[in-house]
Amino acid sequence: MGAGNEGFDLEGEATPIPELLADLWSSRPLIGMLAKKEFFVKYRRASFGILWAACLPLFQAAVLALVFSRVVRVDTEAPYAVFVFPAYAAWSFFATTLPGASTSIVDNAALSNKIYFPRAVLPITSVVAALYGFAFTLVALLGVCVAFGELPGPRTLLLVPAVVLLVLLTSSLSLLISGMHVYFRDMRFFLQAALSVWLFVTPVLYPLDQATGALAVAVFVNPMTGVCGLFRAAITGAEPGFTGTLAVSVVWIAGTLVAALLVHRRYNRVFSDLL
Amino acid sequence: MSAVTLSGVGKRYRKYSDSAVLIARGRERIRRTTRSETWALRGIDLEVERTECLGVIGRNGGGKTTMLQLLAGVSAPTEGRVSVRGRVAPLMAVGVGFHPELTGRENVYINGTILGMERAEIDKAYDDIVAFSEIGDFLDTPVKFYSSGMMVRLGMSVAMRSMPDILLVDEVLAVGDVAFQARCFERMQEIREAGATVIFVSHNLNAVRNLCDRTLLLHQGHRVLLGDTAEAISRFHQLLDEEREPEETDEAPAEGRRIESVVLSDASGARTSTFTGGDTATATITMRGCTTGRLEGLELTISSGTGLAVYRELLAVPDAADGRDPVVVTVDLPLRLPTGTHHLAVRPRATSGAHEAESRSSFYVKSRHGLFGQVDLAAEFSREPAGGGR
Repeated sequence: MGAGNEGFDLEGEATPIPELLADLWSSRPLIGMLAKKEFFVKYRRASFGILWAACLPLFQAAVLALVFSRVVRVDTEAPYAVFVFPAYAAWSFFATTLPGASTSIVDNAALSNKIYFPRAVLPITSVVAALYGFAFTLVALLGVCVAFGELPGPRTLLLVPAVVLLVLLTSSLSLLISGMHVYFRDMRFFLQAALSVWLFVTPVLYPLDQATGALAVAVFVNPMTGVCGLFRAAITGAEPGFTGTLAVSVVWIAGTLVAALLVHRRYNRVFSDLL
Repeated sequence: MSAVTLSGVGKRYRKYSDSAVLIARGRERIRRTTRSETWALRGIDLEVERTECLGVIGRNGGGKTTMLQLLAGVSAPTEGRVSVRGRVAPLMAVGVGFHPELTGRENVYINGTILGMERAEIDKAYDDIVAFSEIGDFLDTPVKFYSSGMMVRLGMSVAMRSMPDILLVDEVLAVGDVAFQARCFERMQEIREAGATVIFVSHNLNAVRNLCDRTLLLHQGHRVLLGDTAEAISRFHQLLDEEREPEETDEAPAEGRRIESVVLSDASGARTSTFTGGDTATATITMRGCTTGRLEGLELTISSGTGLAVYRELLAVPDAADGRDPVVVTVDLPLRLPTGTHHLAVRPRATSGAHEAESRSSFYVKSRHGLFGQVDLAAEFSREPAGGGR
């Protein structure tokens, strides 16, 4: 970990940003160790083990694909399953990781009340742990696409920036919300409510250009629109109007990161007073 | 450079009993009160050198835990400056991050990483950790099947092996069996001799006396005394007695008798709470009682630090004609006791059998070297002149 191995000076409650970042950087082994633990503990007692990590999002996407292609009837160029799955994989990572990561500082009070490491380690750990499972989901994603005749090409490489963007967005929101959650325990419920609406203002189940009116505005300012769009672009090609939403996502990430940094700068050392 | 330096350190907490923080703060802002603020620690100056062992004592709520939290870096001071040089191993964090589903082996690695060890470092220390913990065959068993003693032993072994420069120790040493405790103390001494600083926070005054060069006495967040351990312990007992003295009331209790005060003094008549083994302490007991029931006597109990009654006797005390006047009784107690903290309890016994409140005071006895157990029988050794055998 290294944080505090040479000692530390405390004056006032805030942690200076360079110190915070340096501590966080030297906490990489700790993050890796904790993330591995979180991931493997989750599947250890299940008979099918890690298979669940890949199959659960696949199953959920299949159900949605069936409902939306047969019942609601959304028209897409590519087969609907191939259209839905890449965006849904991203959404599923986001929506299952964010709630856990957002309560991570409070949930790990037993750990953080006793020993110091930057509290930002905890939400980041949750995101990294989820990445292990996401690797299996991505393999399943490529498998499904091949099965439906969408062979991987050069644009498949877009998955790399897509994953980076998804991880950045999830991490920055987790960092911010996890800090706020210590003080406002309402955050987790607020987040639950928000996520249930959020899926429908994200063009996961419908194409970007089908959103009109007020929905179009909500879809455009939604940071997940660009991220899901990039995943879709990697598999079935970019949709019209996609570049703008990508820019919105980047702005969101930058803004959230700055806000998260300020929250952690101020409260990093004193979260434990309220845990 | 000192291992630990605190200058003018204060820590203020806000206590929001049950309500949401947001609502509680809003309410305070409107009413312009700061009622929920308390200083857990105030104006603390302290310097601890390398290889020094500092004891921290005081009553619950005195600020001991807050101080440990500041030294571990898990909290920040509201005012002043905390400066720590070197790797800190908080032994109060024993077994922190242990996951019940993971095996002992896996938990050693996680715990070691949390304590700031690198993987190679843990690899190297692993056999030693296992040997010290005496977990043996259970290493590949999930720790949820461990006994609580095993968990503490394993956690302690990792912490002891994390090569700390500063060891923060609290009551954890009270867990685990006596043999393991003894080995922990031994290891702590080794770590100290290797150049580390130990800060030992405990209610076990005997352990503090045995281990610490200097002791800090905290009371209600303030530094009462920083200095010689024996002096600090003696001052602590005095403090406890002062607090225990009941407040003056005009009216005697409706029924029964009440001990107003018990004052301990030495042969010269000076009030003290530290004695030398074998000396005689004089207890001056002031009692006030009411007219109902007849006093049978005073029950005196001396118990050791562990709570075991070493001596108990009912002393026949003549009852005062009018129970409203205070009765003063002096008792000479030869303190044939081993080194340690002892308690003196005085309880009036009435013929009616009514339950009376007892008055307790603590005192410290420093006895001769090599004396253990509960009581000093002052055995005399003599040696027969040789010749019987040959």
